[in-house]
Amino acid sequence: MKGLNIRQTEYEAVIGLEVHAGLAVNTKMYCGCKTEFGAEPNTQCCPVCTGMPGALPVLNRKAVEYAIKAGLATNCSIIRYSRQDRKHYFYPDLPKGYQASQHNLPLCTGGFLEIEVNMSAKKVGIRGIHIEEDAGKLIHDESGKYSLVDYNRSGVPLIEIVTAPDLGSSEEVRAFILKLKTILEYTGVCDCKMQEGSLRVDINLSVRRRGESTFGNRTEIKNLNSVRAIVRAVEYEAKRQAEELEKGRSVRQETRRWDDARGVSYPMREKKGADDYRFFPDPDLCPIVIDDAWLNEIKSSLPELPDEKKKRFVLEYKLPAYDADFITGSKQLSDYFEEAAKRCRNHRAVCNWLMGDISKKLNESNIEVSDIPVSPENLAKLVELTDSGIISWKIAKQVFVVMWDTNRDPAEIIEEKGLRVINDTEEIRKVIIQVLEENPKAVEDIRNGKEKTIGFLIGQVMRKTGGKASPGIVNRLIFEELERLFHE
Amino acid sequence: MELTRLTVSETLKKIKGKEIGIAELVSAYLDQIENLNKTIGAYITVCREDCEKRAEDIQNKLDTGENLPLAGIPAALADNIVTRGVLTTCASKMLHNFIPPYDSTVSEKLRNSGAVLLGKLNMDEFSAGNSNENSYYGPVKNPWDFERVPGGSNGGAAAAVAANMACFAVGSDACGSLRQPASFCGVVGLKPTYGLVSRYGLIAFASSFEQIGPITRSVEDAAVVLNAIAGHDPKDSVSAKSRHPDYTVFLNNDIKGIRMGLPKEYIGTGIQADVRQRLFEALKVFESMGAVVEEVSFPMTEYAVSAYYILSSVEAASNLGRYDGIRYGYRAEHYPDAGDLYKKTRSEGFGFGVKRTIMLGTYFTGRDCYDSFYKKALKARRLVTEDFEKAFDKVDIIVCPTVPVTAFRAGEKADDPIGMHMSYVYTVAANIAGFCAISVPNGTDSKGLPTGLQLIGKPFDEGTLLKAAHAFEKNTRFDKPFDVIC
Amino acid sequence: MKNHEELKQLTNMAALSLSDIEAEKLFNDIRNISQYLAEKLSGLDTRNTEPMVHVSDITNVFRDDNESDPLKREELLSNAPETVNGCFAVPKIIEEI
Repeated sequence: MKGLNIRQTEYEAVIGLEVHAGLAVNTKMYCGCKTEFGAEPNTQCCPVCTGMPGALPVLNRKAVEYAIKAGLATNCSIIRYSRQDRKHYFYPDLPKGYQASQHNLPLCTGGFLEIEVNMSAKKVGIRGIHIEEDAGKLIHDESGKYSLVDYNRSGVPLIEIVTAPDLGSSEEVRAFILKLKTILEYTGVCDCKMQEGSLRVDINLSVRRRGESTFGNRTEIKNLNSVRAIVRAVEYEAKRQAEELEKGRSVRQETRRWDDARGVSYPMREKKGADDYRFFPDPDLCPIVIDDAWLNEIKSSLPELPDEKKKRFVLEYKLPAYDADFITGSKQLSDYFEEAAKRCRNHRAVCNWLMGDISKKLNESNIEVSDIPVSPENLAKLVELTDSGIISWKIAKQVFVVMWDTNRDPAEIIEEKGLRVINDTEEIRKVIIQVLEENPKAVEDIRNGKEKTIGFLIGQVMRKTGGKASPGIVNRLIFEELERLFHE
Repeated sequence: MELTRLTVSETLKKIKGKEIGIAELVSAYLDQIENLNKTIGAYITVCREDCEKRAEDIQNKLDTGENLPLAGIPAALADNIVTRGVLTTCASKMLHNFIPPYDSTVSEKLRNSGAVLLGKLNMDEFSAGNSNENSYYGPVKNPWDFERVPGGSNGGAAAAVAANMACFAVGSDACGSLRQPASFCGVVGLKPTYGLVSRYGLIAFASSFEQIGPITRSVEDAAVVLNAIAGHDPKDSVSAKSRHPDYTVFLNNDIKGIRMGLPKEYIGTGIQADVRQRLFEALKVFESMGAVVEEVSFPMTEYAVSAYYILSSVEAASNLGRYDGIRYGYRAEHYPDAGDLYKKTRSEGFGFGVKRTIMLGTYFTGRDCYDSFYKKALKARRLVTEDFEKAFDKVDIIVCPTVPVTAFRAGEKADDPIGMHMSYVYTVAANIAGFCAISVPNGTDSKGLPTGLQLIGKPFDEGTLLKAAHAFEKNTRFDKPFDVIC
Repeated sequence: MKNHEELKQLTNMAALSLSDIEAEKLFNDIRNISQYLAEKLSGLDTRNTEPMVHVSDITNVFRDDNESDPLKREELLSNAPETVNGCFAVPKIIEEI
């Protein structure tokens, strides 16, 4: 979209998010059906989650505990007396004509998360976290005649995290989502597989002139499921609204959809009164009362959270703050790091592998940290082998490529391929003499003062030894041999 | 000997004493249904083949010494109680073809007790009504006078038991929907304390008010059936956790010293003179047995029906949201898109009374009405409940007529939704507060139509309630409908 | 209920469509009944009363996170008016309804 860039205008965006996170539990919110992703349609369903007449819900305790965990990890107060409400609307994927949710008395309220953008920290308020059930899924069939309904997802437990309108830019939104994602992964509350829809985001956005305290009309963009789409949608929508205002028009308060392929948002068709959800307490469900004992039990089950872990990594492993931040940004990555780090002495090297070659590989192959083919044990061995001079840094990189494809023990690979560093001075000296004989012009150049050419000769030596020659020895001997030659 | 005239207890005795066979018994009931159902319309579905086969199974079990508390007793369920494999319509076009792939807890319990399911009973569509004139399958007639309504919503259940078409029936009571028809048809109707009987598989109308209970020919039968259906169910979140006693133990005809409260607001205007007369005669019976009757006051009485009207509509509108023609039941034939599919299906599938309830319930929780109607009604609910709690500090049981009038003529009140609800003025409080209550026959009015006496008990004190009702029954002798009509 | 426009909105919210006769009747019914109820309840002082949401005082009823058997798909779909490829079928949905 051409036109003005909101950053350079007198407008600022005011953004709040509603994040729906699928809970990492085995069974649905109100029945014992499985929550597994990707099953055959309508094979994880029962009378309860398909809204058959007379069926009644019974709440999954673990879902409540996970919601509370998420609340504690985001600095929320836990409401000790909480209710479940019915939220009414009609859609074919919603089997009961209402969604069991929480309205007046959610489980968690009043929290915050700290994010860092451009080196400055910001607190983003969390208004509340409540539990609710997911809806089914609509599949569009090939003939184009039907929409098909699969209720496998119907009743899957979700939490909805509602932020205050504290975010001001796509960078802040991005930082918030990543931080939240990390925390949900750490606590085990959600697997955050966005491509499977286990983290979905609605964006509430308005713009106003900088410095104004009132809010403009806001739009809601629903159901975004990738960080990239969220960032793009925020940027597009802020710009669109600013342009509307710039043209002297007002922004329509409406719900919009994001078309990621075209990179635009567009208004959804809405019926009058459709946003009146007529919440009331679900008479089939009883209140949730959280006493001290239960709350303490949940508290004590919370793992170390990313901010604490980052501090510990700096202290314990002597990682630079930036590196510690990167590694602890993913629970799986930090777990991997610790697994490897406890098996070797050079922790910085482990960190470098993770931030360098491994991250690169992950990006290239689009796989999750949990699927890294190299085990932490083998990575630790590789670090040890490099550190003790058995292989060079360069060879280590070759070995790593083999490890990625086979997850074999690096020592084995080195032996098998004869990649061990050559420390034998006489062997190296022979190669050097041969190189000097083969490159009389280079030798001549050096004699005439072009010392840079030594690098070329060293390169030749390394090539002849397949990179295995100990660089220190090569360096020392090449000077010795040149001296000898010049003195002859 | 007329097999279909016997109570549950009498029938059990004869079955266990091998005086009668279950097949013979079931076939007697099937004959009775065959003869009368066309006229009375109590049944929507009759499970002829199923129950003949089942009679055989139970007889075999019995002959091999198995002990089943309701062995071979021919029973019927209201058609809002889900029965696996048996058509369950809720008396609505919306579910005209619904064959549930699962069972209600109550149906399961009755089967495990050895009862034989004769069929599914007519009722007001989705429980919305109190005269059983609002069924997709046609109205039910009162066995005492075919011109009159049997009451509702469980007119089918009361009529079937009164006309010997079932040994007992089980239905649900949201504001008097078992007790009022029991009163109109001269049989016993029990609404247990909220949470005593599982609602799993009860097609929901007013979830926070309704309880499943029996309609029987005697108080003892009510106790026997309650024994079979009561108890905690992990599938119903608001089901009570405590264990229930054997209710037959309470039936000892000893009510000396029991304190009974007569609500003075219930005997003022609007009550039929001979209904009031029967009430005072009943109080004399109680006093003659050593009970102490005193006056109590329920100043909130006039708000009870209004609060119920609002809250039940709200819950019903929500509960009826699932009928959309997608997963089960009726689907409209012509629908250009999914939105029309919904609207057409619901408009064609629901009767007018149900649509009115849905519209009202939707209206009461809308943005503009939430506080003035919905929330206000919730507060009224508390005030009505507090009236009763205060009374129960002084007395053990509340005694009053079940309905201020006897059965009215069909069509008489069809167009008067508010007036119709006034027939629930004495029964609704027990649902508002969740207390247990029973209606027992209390003679007839000047036209020879039955009237009921209602007793209301403390929560989970069905023991005392049944004891008092049983003592009253044993010390009175009223006509049974079969003496009149059959 | 102020006017027929409001009735229409309510009808939409309830996912119903009414014939003219039904609409007329319901408009009057809702009007009369709500007026009657409003008048009735206006006499009730509820300033010091908390709403009573439920008769039951039961709290904290949960299930453990254990799997139970689902319905067989044939059974789940057995009552459906129309199915395609193991799914419930509805006319193609373009957008929100």
